[in-house]
Amino acid sequence: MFGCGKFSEIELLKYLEGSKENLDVIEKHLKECPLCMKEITELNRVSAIMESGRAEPLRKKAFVTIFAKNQDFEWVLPSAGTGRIELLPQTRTISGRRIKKAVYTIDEIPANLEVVPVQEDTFWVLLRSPELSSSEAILRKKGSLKSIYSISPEGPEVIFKGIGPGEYEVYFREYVIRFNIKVEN
Amino acid sequence: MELHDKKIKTLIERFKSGKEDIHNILNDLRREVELYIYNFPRLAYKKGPDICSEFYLYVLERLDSIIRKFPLNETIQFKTWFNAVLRNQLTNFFYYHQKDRKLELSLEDYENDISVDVFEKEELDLKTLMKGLSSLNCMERLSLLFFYMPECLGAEDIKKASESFKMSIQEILAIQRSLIVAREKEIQRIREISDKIGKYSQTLARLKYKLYKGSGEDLKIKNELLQKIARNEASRARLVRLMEAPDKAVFREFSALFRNALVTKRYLKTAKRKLRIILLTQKKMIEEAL
Repeated sequence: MFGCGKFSEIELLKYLEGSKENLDVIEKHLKECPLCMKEITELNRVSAIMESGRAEPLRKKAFVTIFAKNQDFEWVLPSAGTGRIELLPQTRTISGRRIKKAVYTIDEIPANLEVVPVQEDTFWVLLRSPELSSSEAILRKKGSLKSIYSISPEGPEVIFKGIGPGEYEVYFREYVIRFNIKVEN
Repeated sequence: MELHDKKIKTLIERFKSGKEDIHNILNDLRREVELYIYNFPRLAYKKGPDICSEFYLYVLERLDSIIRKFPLNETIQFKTWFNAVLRNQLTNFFYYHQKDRKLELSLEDYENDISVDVFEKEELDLKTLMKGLSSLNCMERLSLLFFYMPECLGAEDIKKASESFKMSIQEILAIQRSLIVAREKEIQRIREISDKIGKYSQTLARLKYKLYKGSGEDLKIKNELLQKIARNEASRARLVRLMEAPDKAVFREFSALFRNALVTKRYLKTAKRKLRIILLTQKKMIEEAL
């Protein structure tokens, strides 16, 4: 709903674009209705600012949701960005069971993210990127300002150990990778 | 920032028809609008890069359903509709992610970070400026707001302007929009010139140091250095004059509110002088009170 709802959003947006359709009726209404007037003024300001403003480059990012089931990765869903998931079979053995690890190669970012289950509900997260050797890698819980890890790796790889299920963000250079580890028992 | 209206509408049409691979079309659409989405909180509400990134992800997750709602049968530009959508999405985003924040996004949300160095060279806070402006009569106050801070005009100001300048609200809104665009372009022009002046100043400092340090060298080298300095000084002075030149584009848009350019100039000059006197009086009163 736009403003008080007397006019549809489309009608008022057309008015903002200069349409003469229902002009007198809308003008009369705007003079009487502070809610619609406020909305239309605000939208006018936003439109002008967006038109004249300069774009800043996008901070490249990826958003990966990883589902693990019974110590095995069931599937990986990239919610934003595109990438390829590679399940490497039988690479580790825990409690007598052979388990898989998942590697997520991200198209938009020169990196891949490897998630290795080490115990029940505990993972190692390996981040590989040629950009890492000249940068600091920071791991945070999503929404938290406190870093869990802050590492300046010497090579193109960094390992975050003891990671439990939850939403995390890795920052390095201008990149952000958000990953969400979900465990279904 | 530009959005390719025709291209986006064609993509939406293909997306809605369901005949092709919607993931590919959605990816193409994402590429068309991603910068616009990412920059929306920063430009429209002066928010930082963290919020921009968060908001970008938030919208991207919903892009599919957002795009489906675009009314293809209406004669409306995609960006006008998209601005309204993004504003609603930003309100929802704040509600969803930061429950302590107020729900409604408006001018007040933008004003917190606004620069107020438009009237005077010395620092002036927005509160003092607004107090000074409120002491002026309606036409003078509106004139100054339209000319210097068109993005700060609220709903009441637009309504009053419509009455005072005897124009429709639609016309007043169009003038406000043109003024915001013209002022932004002017700011960008000044920034570019100022960057160039900075580079000339650096070159001049280097050349002058070279001249000073090489006092023992022959006259020919010194002469060449002096000529270079003179050329750079002249270029810098030309840029300074260009930067200080009156802003014609903003004035042209602004004069649409008045009968002619002469009346516009007179109105603006009087209003500016009155505001300066009010601000000086306020400052003097504060100093005396202290």
